[in-house]
Amino acid sequence: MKWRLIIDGPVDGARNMAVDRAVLYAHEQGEAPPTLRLYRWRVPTVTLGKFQRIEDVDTALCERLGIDIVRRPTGGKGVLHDDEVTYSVISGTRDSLPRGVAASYRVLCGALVEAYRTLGVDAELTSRPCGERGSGACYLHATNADLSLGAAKLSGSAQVWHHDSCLQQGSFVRTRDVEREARVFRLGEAEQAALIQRTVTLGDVLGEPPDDRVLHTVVTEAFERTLGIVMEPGVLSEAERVVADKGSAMFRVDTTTMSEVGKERK
Amino acid sequence: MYPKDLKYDCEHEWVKVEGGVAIIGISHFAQDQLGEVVYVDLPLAGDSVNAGESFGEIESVKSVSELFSPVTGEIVEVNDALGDAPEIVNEDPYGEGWMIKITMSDPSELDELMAVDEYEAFIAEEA
Repeated sequence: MKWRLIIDGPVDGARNMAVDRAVLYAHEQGEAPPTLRLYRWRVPTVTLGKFQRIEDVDTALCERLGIDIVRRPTGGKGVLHDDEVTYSVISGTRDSLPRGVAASYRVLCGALVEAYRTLGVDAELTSRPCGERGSGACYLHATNADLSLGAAKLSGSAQVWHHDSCLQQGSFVRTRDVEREARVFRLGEAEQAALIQRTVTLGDVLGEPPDDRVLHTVVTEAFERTLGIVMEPGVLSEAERVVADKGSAMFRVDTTTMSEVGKERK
Repeated sequence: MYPKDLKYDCEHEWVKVEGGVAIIGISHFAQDQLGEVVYVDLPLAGDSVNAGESFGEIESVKSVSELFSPVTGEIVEVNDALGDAPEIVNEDPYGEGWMIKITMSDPSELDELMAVDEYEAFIAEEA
């Protein structure tokens, strides 16, 4: 089976989310192939889970530090994206992805595990959820959707399903500024200590983390080997681009007015 | 596991009809496939919904999925208890885990839904 590979450079946060959503919509309508997209962020960006409360984030601090805030179409809690390569996968049951949440995470995260192991990091899918479920910071809670190295969380992922099509997003984190992340998510001393103890990055393990080019190659080949697919470099279709153009505004969170088109609930 | 007095759709919602009102929730199979439910986003009473269209969303294990209405009509009651205790959907999907009640505008839509034996065959194929 052939998949499309889209590699984007640093992009505005709301645009990143709108592009992922546009590809999901096109896939749902049978107009897009299964797609792996690798991208970065124009500036450090907090993404909030679809139903997460904005109060989990210190928006004034983000404003001062030049950190954008956007909402993800996927579930889960807040992530501060900075020195990382972010991935999105759009696939579905017609591409042989199982429909169940746990089963689909197992398949797609299997490719992530393979990528980490190729880099020399002995990652595995978290078998037993642990950590602070109520925290606003995603990396303080490890679930069956996440990769761990020993007892430390290495990589988080989240999904949204539209009918039989799935968008899964996640990160390959090179380095993390834990102190800044703790302030952004209003973590207390104990939670900040937990963030240090229970998370690990590529830089922590490898010393010198891989650059974009290496990560792109390793991740792409890991998906090919694990899923038995062939990646073909591609770009958005014109229809996807139009949907993405129209959709950017709904993911943006205005920190001066605390307003957004998307929802905030839990 | 799958009560005989309910009707089911291919999106794994169930319908129970009581006095012209359709009570709707998700099946045991659906809650099992979702895993631990952490949030349910439901509409407001008074909203209208069409058969086959989304009436809300549900989040489990950082995964968001849509909820689809098996019938058309006006939503007359919403299970607000799921706001504070979404895990009820896992614990009691056919009882306390119900989601919305609808006054049906076209009860003949029920004929399009699956009886329990058809639904069991459907999920056996899907699993």
